Amino acid sequence: MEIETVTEDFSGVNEVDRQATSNHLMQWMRDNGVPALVMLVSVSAVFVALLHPIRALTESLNPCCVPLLGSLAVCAGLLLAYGRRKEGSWDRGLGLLLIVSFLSTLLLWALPDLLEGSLPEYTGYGENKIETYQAIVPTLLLLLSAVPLAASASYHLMGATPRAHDISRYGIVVLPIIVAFFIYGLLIWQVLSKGISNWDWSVIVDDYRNFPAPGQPGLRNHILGTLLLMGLTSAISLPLGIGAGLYVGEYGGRLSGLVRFSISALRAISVFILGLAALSLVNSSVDSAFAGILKGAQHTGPGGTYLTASIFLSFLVIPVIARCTEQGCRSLPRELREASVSLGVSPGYTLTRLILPWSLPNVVTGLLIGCAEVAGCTAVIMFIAGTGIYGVGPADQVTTLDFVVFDAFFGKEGVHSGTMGPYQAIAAVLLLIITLGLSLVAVALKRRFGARFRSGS
Amino acid sequence: MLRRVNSQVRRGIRSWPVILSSAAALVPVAMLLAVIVLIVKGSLLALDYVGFQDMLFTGEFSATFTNPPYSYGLLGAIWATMILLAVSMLIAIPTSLALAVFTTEFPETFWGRRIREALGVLAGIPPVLYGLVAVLFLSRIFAIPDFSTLTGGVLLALLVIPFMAPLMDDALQNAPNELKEASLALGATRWYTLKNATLPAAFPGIVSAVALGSLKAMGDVIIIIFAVGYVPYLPSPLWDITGRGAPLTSAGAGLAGSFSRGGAPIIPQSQAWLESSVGYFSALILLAMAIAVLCLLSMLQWRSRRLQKTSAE
Repeated sequence: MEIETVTEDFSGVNEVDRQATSNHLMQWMRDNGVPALVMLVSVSAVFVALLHPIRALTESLNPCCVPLLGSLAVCAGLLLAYGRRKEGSWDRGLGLLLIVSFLSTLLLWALPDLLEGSLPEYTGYGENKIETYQAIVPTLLLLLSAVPLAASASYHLMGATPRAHDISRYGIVVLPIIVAFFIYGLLIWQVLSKGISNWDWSVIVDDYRNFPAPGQPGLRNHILGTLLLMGLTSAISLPLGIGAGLYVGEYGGRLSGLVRFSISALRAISVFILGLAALSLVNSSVDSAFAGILKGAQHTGPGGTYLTASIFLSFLVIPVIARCTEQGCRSLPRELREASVSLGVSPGYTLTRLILPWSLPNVVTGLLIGCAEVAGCTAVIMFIAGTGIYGVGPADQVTTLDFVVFDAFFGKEGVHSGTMGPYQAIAAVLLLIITLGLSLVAVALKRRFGARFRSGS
Repeated sequence: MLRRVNSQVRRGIRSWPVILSSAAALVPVAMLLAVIVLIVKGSLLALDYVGFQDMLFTGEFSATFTNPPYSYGLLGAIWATMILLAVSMLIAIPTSLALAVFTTEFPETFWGRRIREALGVLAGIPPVLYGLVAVLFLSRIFAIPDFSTLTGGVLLALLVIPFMAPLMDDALQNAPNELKEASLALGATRWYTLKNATLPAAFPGIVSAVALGSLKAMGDVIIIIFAVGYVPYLPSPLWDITGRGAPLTSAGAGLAGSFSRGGAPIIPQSQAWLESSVGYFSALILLAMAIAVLCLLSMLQWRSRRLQKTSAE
């Protein structure tokens, strides 16, 4: 037997390999070329749409909006034909998208003429109306067409499997989330940077005084005022809120529907209404010692004391605490409750030893959320607040950190806003720290005691 | 169920916790009534002098802080409230729905948990800071006007999203699990299940979340004072959102508060006194709208609960 030595000539194999690769590529292009193209166009359209409202880029990006939208329409048609060829049926969603993008192109193309025709000549406030519409309408129309198109294209690219269907659609969900959190981050960063760049430690520890040294700025009274307001409101609303929550969640009587309705109503009505109610009480002509305390009658200037403000702020906080307590009551496991009854325990003992300790995390969370709302609620105190010169006590004129921010723009010219104006950024930072800190602790508590916030069992 | 277990209550003996909590529970009811009474009392003067028709159905507005002759038509304010609500809900509803879908579908992942916690923290941002942002930088970065209905709508949407998204998330999670499981078992994709089974089942919850969110957006006054202003008027193309027509909240605040008049206190029996009464009237309109929406919501919830009970039997 002869052993043949076979000399392999590999150059030919490489030829075959390269041909196979390029055939493979051509095959891929033939299969997925259309969705890939559509994906490219729609992703760039999304980018243009998101960057368009930025003032620095609006001018330069404006001319490409109409061509981009037109090409989106063309791509929708291409994808429609592609889907028909591949799956044998018309994708109705894509057909709708084709019509929508075509009409949007026409609208966007005719937009400048439409705007010129209907908007009057604009005078005052120095802003061009047409410019604004030119900035936002293309964004909206582009996003409306491009996002579903990108989803469909990526679905076809990933092979048109059910899993691809899921992944492509959940991509739509992620986009608004990213944009929203970006804007929130921008907001917080701007406030912090403006406040920190103007930071001045002496402003925090000094009082705001108008005499003897005129115009000495100081936030101390305002900080103490915010803390006092939170304390007074908690003291008023804690017992009442817990009681109301227990009534609705535990001892539900005939009136529990009405109580629940008024609790949600107090949360839902505008804080502006509560502020006006406070104002009417302060401006009323009732004369008694207690009314005098409420009206701040012993001070000159706008009336309204910390006591008044906390009474009306507790309108806001009692529903929060009541709702949290009710959730806590409902989450108490039935076995514990039945055990206490079977042992012959009186309702009072059950309350103090079982229900209240169990709902304690809920109550504390509600209290923290309520305090965060108190610290930020300017609407109630802006009608009755003052300058804080006289000190911080329940019968003193009310003033808080958020009022400083408001007053710097809308306060009396000269005395208050003139002196304190530059420091409103510091007040804003302090306010942000206080409220975000409270909310953070509340969220941490909710996470730790998660089961107690779900009513059940 | 609870009352049957608690034997003493069933026997009708009122123990001290029940008495105390009943007393405490009547306080919110009394507070709501007190607010209604105070607002109605405050607007009586305006109803006498200016008249219901003139205030509600006219668009002409000029007060002591604009120029004479004085007329107090609030139609522009009502229209501005509607437009602001529309703009903010147009932005907020899809975003909140997206957030709720994400936190429902991926609740145990790293990002799902972080987003839920972040929403809880962002819900605590005070509205004053949104207003400050409007003045500080919003129009320097984005090509929208400093002060306009559009700016107010965007800021209101930012305010409402952390409030509405957890509510929608709860609604989606409380949708009956059997529907979702049945759809998945029959081979539908997760997205298809979400769109065709979970969302329709959770629709009442989502509607109530949207209603509560829109009440909160309608009621916020500080953001609007910063971003829109406090003078109401009807914009000349009605859909114009770059105008500065004030809605009911800030129009009422400007009328009744002293900040619009340079801090001068309102002297009784003056023109400003009448104007503050018009402010109370706009608060009354808001209050009536809020209570109407809440009653509708309660009826919807009661009906859906009754439907669930009868279908479960």
